[in-house]
Amino acid sequence: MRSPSVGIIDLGIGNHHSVKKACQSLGARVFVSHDQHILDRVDLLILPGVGSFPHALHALRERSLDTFILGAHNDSRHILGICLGMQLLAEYSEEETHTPGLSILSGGVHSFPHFSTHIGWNSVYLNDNLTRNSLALDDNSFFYFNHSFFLTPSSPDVSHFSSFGQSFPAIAQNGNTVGIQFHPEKSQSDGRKLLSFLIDRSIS
Amino acid sequence: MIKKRLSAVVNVLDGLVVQSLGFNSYLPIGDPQYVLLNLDRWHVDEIILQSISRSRKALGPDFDLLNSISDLQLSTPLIYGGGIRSPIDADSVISLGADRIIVGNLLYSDPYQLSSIVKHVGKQAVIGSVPFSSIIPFIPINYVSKRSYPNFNFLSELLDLGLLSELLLIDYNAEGYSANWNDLFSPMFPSFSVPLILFGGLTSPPDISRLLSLDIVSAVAIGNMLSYKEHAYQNLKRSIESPSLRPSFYSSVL
Repeated sequence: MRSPSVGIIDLGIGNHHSVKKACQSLGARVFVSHDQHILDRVDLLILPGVGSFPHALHALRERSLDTFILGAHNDSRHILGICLGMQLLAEYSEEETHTPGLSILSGGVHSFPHFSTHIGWNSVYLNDNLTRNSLALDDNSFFYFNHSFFLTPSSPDVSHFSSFGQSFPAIAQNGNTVGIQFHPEKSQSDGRKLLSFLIDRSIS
Repeated sequence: MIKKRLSAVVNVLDGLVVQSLGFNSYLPIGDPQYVLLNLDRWHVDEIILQSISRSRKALGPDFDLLNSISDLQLSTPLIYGGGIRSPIDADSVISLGADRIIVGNLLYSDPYQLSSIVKHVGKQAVIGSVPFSSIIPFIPINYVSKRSYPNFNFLSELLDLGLLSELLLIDYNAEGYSANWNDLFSPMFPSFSVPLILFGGLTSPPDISRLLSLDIVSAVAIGNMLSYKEHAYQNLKRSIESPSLRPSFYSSVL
């Protein structure tokens, strides 16, 4: 069986390094690129993100990657947004200024009260409205979070929540597009297991 | 609910992991790669990698160190501190695999740069580091110039601007020594508007447990005591017996 391929969307900002190494350690062939011809051929597209929403959105639009990602989603390709990458998939963000997003996930992105930051290890739990844990997460899993903004909790796309003074979306899904607020590449065994699941699912 | 963290500090001097004693003397431990791989295997909550003396020698970040560990496939959150002077330094350090950065000397030498750095990498990625004297509590010390300041008003002003996500508060006199955390620091805590990472002389499980129970404390950092025993980290975590921490992890794969 061929090894899966992963395309990390390169916006010219942030840390692709850890995501790349994590995927390689799981046996995937990894390409870091903003070239749509290269990204078109991979099994799983990853949109990472560090920094600010407006800055990252601008970088996406400059490279015409916003329309590329929308097209990939509409073609039911497998897409994973991590942290800011998840937020970019939303309808808009209020970070710095109101900025429209890619509108793949319902809802907007808002800051925690008093601009506090959610940093550290936290658990996630299945949305009460769902009966099936589609990502096969263990109840005792912990994941590493590092963010100040989060997706609207009432979004119908939310599959898993976490808690930081209030419930907030940890994972949201729309078709084959998954947005993860935490960093699976920095979440040790639990994160590797989830990444492995998503990579394998992209070729099944 | 979010867990508190037990952070593992790794001090590197001239490419070698060292045991630091009071910011003044250093004993060699070994190669950074092996130390970090062990900590990753032990599933520590996070690694604080400090390249010491970079600011004192005006050297900038230790890119040789970061490049040397970049292929290790660490899956543990990594915080880097040492020599960061500018947004370009901060960007470069993060692009090499650090998740967050620590700024220390910059808080004194060029605090205006802090705002630019935060704009580039985001506030959640920036931690301020300030050693405090435990002989005269509440007195911050610049470890580069060894100069002490009459108060920490400058720090409070930076915190009120919302530029730091956490503050690494170091007991300057206890750093590197055992079971010596000075409880005279506690009255200072309400003055800070960000969560605190406490470091310096913290080795006693009851002390660590008590400090972790405080709302304002998000993490306790430990350094030297991790270097001399297998599973030192996991055993310490188990001894602390705090429900606010993630459980210990013992890897079955060598």
